[in-house]
Amino acid sequence: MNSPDEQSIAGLRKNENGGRLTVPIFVAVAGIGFVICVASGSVAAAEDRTAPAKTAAAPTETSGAAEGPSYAFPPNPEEQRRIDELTKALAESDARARDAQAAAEHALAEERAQRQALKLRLDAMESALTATARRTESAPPVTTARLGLSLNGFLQADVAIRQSAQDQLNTANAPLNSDRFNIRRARIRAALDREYVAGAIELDGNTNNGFAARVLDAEASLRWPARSASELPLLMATIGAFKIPFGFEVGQSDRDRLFLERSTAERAFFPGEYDLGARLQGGWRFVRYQFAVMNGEPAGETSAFPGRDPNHQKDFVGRLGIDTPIVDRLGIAVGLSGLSGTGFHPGTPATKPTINWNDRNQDGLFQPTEVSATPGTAATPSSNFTRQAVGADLRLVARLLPLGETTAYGEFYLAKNLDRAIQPADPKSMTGAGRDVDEVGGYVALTQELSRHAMVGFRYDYYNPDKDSTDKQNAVTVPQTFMYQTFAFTAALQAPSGRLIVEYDINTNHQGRDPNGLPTNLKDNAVSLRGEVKF
Amino acid sequence: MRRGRTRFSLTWPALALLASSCAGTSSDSGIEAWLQLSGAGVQYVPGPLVDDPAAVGPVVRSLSASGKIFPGAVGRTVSGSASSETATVLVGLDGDMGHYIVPVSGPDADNQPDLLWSANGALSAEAPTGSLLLRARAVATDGTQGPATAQALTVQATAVTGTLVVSLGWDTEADLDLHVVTPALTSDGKLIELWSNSRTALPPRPALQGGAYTDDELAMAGIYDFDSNAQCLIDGLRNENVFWTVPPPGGHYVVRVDTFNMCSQQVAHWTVTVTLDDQVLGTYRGTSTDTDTRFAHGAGAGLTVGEFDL
Repeated sequence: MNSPDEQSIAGLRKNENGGRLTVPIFVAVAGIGFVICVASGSVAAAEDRTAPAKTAAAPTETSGAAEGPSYAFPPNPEEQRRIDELTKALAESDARARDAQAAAEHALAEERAQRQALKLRLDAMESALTATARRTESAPPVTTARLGLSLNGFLQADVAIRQSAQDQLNTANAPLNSDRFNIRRARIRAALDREYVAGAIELDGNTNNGFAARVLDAEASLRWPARSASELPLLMATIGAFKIPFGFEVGQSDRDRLFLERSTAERAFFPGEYDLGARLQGGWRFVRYQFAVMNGEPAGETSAFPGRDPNHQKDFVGRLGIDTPIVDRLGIAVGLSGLSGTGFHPGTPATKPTINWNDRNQDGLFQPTEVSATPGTAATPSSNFTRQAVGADLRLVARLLPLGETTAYGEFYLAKNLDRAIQPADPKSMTGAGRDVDEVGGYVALTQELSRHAMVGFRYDYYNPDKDSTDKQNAVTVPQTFMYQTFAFTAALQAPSGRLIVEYDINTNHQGRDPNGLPTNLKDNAVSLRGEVKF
Repeated sequence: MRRGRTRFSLTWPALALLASSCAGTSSDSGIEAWLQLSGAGVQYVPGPLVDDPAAVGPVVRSLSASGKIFPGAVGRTVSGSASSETATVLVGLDGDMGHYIVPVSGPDADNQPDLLWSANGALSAEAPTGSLLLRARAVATDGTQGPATAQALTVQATAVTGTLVVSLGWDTEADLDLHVVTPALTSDGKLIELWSNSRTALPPRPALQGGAYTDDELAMAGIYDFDSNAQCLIDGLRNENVFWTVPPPGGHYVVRVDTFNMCSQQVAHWTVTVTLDDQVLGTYRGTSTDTDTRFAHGAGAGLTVGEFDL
């Protein structure tokens, strides 16, 4: 690297053709010009904040300017170093200025956000204060010890006319007349719904067999909460009394169903819908599942044990399905259900020997031939039997018509020894030993909203409590089928707080007798009117 | 450490509770066993009675029970005597699922210093027919058991026998009635129907013509044997039969089941079996519910469950 002296010397040598007196003047002028050019070039480079490379090139241009065609000065190292230092200082100063500006802008944004949050909070407080003031002025509300408690209920009052009604009593002194006013269901339900805990208590009153009240739904649950309020929990464990998780119709709400009662097969298999047990249920995206271990003695069972359990074996029951929209206005729900459980055959107590007198000739006189002795019999033990069921359900909900929602749904059941109400199955009965009772049933239904205030529906249901009863045994046909079927036509006027429903049922059964004593249809068509209010 | 001690302190009471529950008697009443004994101090023990002919200990001097018995029989007595050191007697049937502890009741006045023991006996309706062996073993106060004493029992079914038997059986204590319309005619040309108020196919005979029929005459005609659970007076038989002990008249037969009264039962499952010379002609099964009680209950009543020709 050349020293400043060498540069001056070189300059002298390069202009040695000039006069001796002009050389110092020229050098001074050139030096001043060079410094000015360099300074102006550095300032220009420093002002270009977005192009540092240009700043780096500035000395070269400056140098070029100094080495213009008229004058060619050698670089001055001292000045160059100084220029570099000034450039660096200027860049650092500029960076500090930028940092200071950014910090100021950030602080300003934070302050604005805080002010916005405070404003929102203030608005919320004002709203709450207003609401509190309104509540204070209105009627006193229902208060609860816990947040998340809901209270609802409904009443269904019926009047019906049936063909089979008679002004007589049956052998149990129960009236055979069913043309009457009846409180079918009067229910009130309190439910707690918290993040990890849920529970419900539902009380039911009715006059189906006289004035009665009972606990129907009583359940306590722990759950893994869903990601949002619109989703089902992934896992929910429940213990208590709840609806048997089988198929669609069992779980369908009584306050939502258009048809007055459930299908015959459902009432045979799951009478009363409620049973006691423990349940796991939940949903993930479109998948739905419910599995339960239950006593196997539903609330509406006709045996002596509804709500209790005469054996220690339990029923395992569950449903696995999907529930999802297919397209914009069409949704589908499909499910498969299964049940495997244990039924109970009651034993009989021992009897003592007796003597019977039957006045056959009705002469009021005792004759030895009218007396018979009956030996006592030993007690017979109770025993258990297995029962199973499988079911499939399908439901389509469409909002294609301008009238309103259209719903088509149906279910199909295959069961063994499961009838607990219509014709209770008992393969362990002494007279039917070794013969399981196979049952089959199902229904299809269609409902259509005609506006927000009207709805119509049709349902056909079928149930055969012993599908083998028409088999031939030893070349002899056993009594005819015990099939039940019903065509139900229903219409309703509805509002958010209630409905007025009328239903006409065409019932077919085999409970009548023809002149030859053979089973035939017992006329049992019915028309029913229901008034319903709900809250 | 503290939590560990707490858990440890709770473990022993729990184990003690379980251990104490192992002692004591079974809650099983023995209703599923063939032999059913009852009486003061009589206790059922699950498990068969095992004999040890070489055992040395108190002995059962005598064992007394009905030699001939039918399934479902009640009101029988099982009794005997045992040597003086006996505290209890173990009684059971070979092949049965349990046996009984019967305490001695007092001294045997006729054979002192022996002791007497006794229990009320019944035989389950599900007991097998044929020969069964009844055993009894004496047990001393120190638990020593002596050898068993045995008695053979003959279990014989009480089923109605005949050339033609129409049998109705059902499972709950309802009042069901069997009706059989025979091809025989009354004097006025009507078909004779056998049921609880008409127990024979023979038409009424005036006194001038001989009056009541003899047993032999009745045996030649169809007989309705017994109205079970009549008017809900529960007898536990739940079985009715119409039978002929001689070749029945040829012609058309109709079998009906009338549900007279459900007697507070929800359902009754019934079976009708028709046998001719021990060959099953047909088996008919059905279910009675309260709806079936709606209809008339006299002659001609009931659900027609089968028809056959002979």
